Amino acid sequence: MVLLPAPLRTFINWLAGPRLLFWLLPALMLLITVGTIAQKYVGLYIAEKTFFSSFIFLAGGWLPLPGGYLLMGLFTLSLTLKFLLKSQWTRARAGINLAHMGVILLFAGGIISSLTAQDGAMTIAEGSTSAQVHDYHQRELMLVDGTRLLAAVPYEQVQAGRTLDFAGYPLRLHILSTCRNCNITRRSDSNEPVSDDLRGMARGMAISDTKPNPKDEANTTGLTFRIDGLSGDAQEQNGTYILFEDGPATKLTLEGRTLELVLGKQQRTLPFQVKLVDVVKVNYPGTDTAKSYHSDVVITDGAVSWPARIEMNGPLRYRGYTFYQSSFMQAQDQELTVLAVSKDAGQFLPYLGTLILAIGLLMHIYLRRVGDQP
Amino acid sequence: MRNALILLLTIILGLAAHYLYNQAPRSPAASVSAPEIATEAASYPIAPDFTYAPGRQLSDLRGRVVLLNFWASWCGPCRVEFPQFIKLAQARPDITILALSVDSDDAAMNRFTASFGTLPSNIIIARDGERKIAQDLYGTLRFPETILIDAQQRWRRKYVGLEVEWDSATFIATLPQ
Amino acid sequence: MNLVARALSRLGLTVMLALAALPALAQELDYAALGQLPILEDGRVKPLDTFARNLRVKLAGQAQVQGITATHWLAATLFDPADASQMPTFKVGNAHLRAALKLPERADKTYALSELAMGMAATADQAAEIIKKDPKTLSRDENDLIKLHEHVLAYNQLLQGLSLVLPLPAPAPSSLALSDPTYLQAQRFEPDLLAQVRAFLTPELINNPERLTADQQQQAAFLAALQQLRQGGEHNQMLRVIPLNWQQSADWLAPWQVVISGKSSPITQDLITKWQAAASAYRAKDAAAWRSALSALHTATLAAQSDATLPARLQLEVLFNQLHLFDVAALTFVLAALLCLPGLRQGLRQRLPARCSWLVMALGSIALTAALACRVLILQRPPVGTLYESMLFVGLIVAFTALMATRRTQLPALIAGGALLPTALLLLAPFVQQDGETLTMLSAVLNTNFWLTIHVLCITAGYGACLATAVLAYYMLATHGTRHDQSARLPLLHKLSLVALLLTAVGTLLGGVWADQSWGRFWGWDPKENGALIIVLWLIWIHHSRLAGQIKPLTYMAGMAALAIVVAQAWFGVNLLSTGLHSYGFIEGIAAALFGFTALNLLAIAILWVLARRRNAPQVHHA
Repeated sequence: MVLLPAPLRTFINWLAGPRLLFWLLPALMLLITVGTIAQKYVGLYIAEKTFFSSFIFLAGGWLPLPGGYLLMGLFTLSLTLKFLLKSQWTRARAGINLAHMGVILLFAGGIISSLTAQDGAMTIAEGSTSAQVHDYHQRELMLVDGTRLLAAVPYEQVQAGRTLDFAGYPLRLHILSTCRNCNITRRSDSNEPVSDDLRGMARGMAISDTKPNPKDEANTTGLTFRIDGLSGDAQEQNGTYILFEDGPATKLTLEGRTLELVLGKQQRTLPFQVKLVDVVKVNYPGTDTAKSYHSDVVITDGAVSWPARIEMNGPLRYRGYTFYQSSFMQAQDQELTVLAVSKDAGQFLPYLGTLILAIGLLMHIYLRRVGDQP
Repeated sequence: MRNALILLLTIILGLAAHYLYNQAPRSPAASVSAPEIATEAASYPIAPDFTYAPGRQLSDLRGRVVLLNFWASWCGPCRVEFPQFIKLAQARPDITILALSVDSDDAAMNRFTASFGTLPSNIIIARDGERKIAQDLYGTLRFPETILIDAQQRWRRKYVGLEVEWDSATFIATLPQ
Repeated sequence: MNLVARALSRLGLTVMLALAALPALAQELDYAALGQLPILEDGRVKPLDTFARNLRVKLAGQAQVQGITATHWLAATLFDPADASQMPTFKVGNAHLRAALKLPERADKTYALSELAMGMAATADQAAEIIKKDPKTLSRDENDLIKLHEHVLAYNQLLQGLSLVLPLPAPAPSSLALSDPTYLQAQRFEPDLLAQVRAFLTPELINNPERLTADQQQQAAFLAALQQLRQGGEHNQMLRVIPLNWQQSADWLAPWQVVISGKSSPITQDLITKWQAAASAYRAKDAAAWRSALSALHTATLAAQSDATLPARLQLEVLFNQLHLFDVAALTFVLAALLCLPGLRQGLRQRLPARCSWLVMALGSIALTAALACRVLILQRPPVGTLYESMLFVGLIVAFTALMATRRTQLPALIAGGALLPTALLLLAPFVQQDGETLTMLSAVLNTNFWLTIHVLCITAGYGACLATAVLAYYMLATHGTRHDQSARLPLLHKLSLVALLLTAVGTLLGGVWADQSWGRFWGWDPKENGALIIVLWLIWIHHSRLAGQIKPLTYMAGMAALAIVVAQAWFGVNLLSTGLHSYGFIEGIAAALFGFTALNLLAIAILWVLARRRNAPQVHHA
């Protein structure tokens, strides 16, 4: 510290001091209040992105105010500096120091989680095996050949006016329009004549943008696009198409192969396979309310297979992934399990932080009683 | 300086613990959860005894698996399942099918059974016209109902209506010895 | 239209039953014995006593109406429906509704089914129309009408719950040689009877029924009665008193369900026969036969199910219902608060009533603890799982803290505050429970005893400690600068707020750990999580500001008193948003109460703060 120039030292001292905290805490409380109320109107996903997972947000659209990352980052920085530079390990202060250290670890865990965590879900039918996890929010435009994924474009890059090229394929897409939450209508409802240019689904249906669902996972994203530049036998496939999430794929025949364009949630592949042997939902007798759920699965990792049970409040952890029993679906005569899958490198830090914080506060209360100072 | 070391050490120890916990090889025994064990045979209740003919009781049939069937001549599904019973009886001579009719007179009952020709010896026909066995004892109000009673006179399972095909290989496989 | 059809068929049957009424005799039967029998409702096996009380409260607003207890009313409903339809059952509080149904004016506004029958039939079409509309757009009158129709439907179902073992409303034809048969006894002759009636009933006779002979009319009427009774039993699932253990099922069915579904067995038949014995004993008003019939039924039903703890839990629940421990606790707390008034100014040591107030409050706390312990034993899970239960537990924590703090400080005022706050919580708690049944099962995600104990108890204890801190802070704020100035107690306030911080912070973080174990993320910015975090941040803010000398002791006390507002918002306010994982207790009208509470507290703190400043001011000006 003594090696640093004086203004920097003053600044660091101010950061580590109580004055910053005095203004930081009410700001944080206000932010949390606003972000909580906002959830009722725009849903958790948007509220979180706007207020908590941002450095700055624009109140009323124009006034820049500090966001969650900024406030919590400052808080963590301030506390860490205080801990490193100012905390003395006397008997009276030992508890406090531990408590502060616990809080630092908590926030460190939070930072790592927000940067690295990957959340998603897996839906498996009884008797089937899967290694695909789909993201909750991230959508992408995929080019597939049967079950092989050839290329994937994140939805954020699919914007009206852009052109997408797929390397290795004579395919060029011009994006005409996109919708975050699409309203799908029949063309026959409107009085416009069906243009010759329309292909596939677009001949019968049209999509338009509508109000986004507060539950972001429920939004049906979609896009309208043009293909041109195909020649020879494939020429008649040039035209205008529509594509929307969970809708039929756009099939194209190029160079003798059948390729499909699909819009859906981002898929990630696990380094092992999960087979669902049985999923059970136990109801309270005489009611439809679920008492408990569990899935009996078999994990196959290379040559090794072993059974496991995943239940509510009893997740499975393996190789950095954690599987949680999320819900249960019934389709015709098939039962499916929905498992939440999370990969989080910083997962242990909050546990450690909580433990140390609890010990620190307990020590502080006890030590104070022994000394009984104000 | 000391505080920085303390913080760093704590994080490293935590990381190590996390890594060890996650990478620990999962032995099948450690993570297996035994599927629900079927109810012990000992907990099956004893089927109440009754007299279905002068000097003949259900308990006389101990040592044999019994399918206790309640039927009536005016019951449509009973017509459908009777031929299946005959085939089952022929396929499994070691079991007994005790078919109690709730018809109000013998004539209707006999007309029904005669229409199927000669019955195998392990099908017993008896009449319970006042429904003292079918309804008062066993609580059957709708027909047909069949109760699977094992060789120790224990009530195993009840079949309501035409739940299974009696002469099918799958059903025969589920019958206890 | 379904509603209309069902309503008419039910009403038709009720009118029929009413015509076959037997006169009720005045002899007293031991109705409490009926209350001991088990029934499955909402996923839990409970005593009929609870079932009867809850239903009575739902229909009539109170458990005892005109001296008739809930179990007496239930016995009449099940065993003598004709008589029960004359008993006051439905409370119609809405004056417009009473006028629309042409009901006579009465002090308790409670009416029998027979009085409502005509009005219900007349408004059936109207009700069918209203049901189609969006529930949010209905007026109060429309809502009340729908509710009344729903209640009448439910009650009709209960009236027919045991109709299969009661004497039939139509006399048996002489050809059958049966005296006063029940449905079960008579239906075995139905095939033959059907054949006979088909034989003589030509289409011509159907159009001219007066040409039928008396015998033929009797036969036709009897057959119709059987069919109508069976129809009434088709969807009758309310009285789930028959356990299905023989069929390896945890389910309990209603008697009609058992006979219709084919899930009968020798055991179920035996139980249904025993219900018939109880019915006969009731109708004959034979006290001895009633007692033995119920005892046999009780033993047989409990023997037919496999939960070994059930008999004891049933008895405990009946006792719990009768003791009204929450009311006892609330009254005791109020008494304790009153007793400490004389000693308010002089401290605990000076006055006998004030000293007694501590003991009385301790007694109240014991009653409250006993009540919560009963709930734990009955439900076989930790005491806090719903918003209602959290209010009871927080009340207990505040009471305990007040007891301990009063011992330490000898300040009777703490008893006053520490007694009135739990009383308020105990009185408000029933309003957050929608149905009247407070002993409920929890959804799958909450169904974990470990986390319910660790996280929920910790955070609710934290809320309790915060409220206790606020009470102390209020007292110190109010007495600041007066003769009874308690500034010397600042270390106590400090310590209490630290305990509150420990419990709330650790409780919140344990909630994060539970969330991580249960659905994969430690922190999700869920409203309830945010609320708890704000409480923690508030405590830290006030605490650190005092330590750094940025605020004076007076402001510190005001800040700690404001903790009450923060806790109320975090605890109840999140339900107003009706969003997120924690909105398991949405209540109407809570917005107004919360707003009022916040405004009142802000005003009180502001006034006390200003008054305290004024009292201090003269000292500042002394040169």
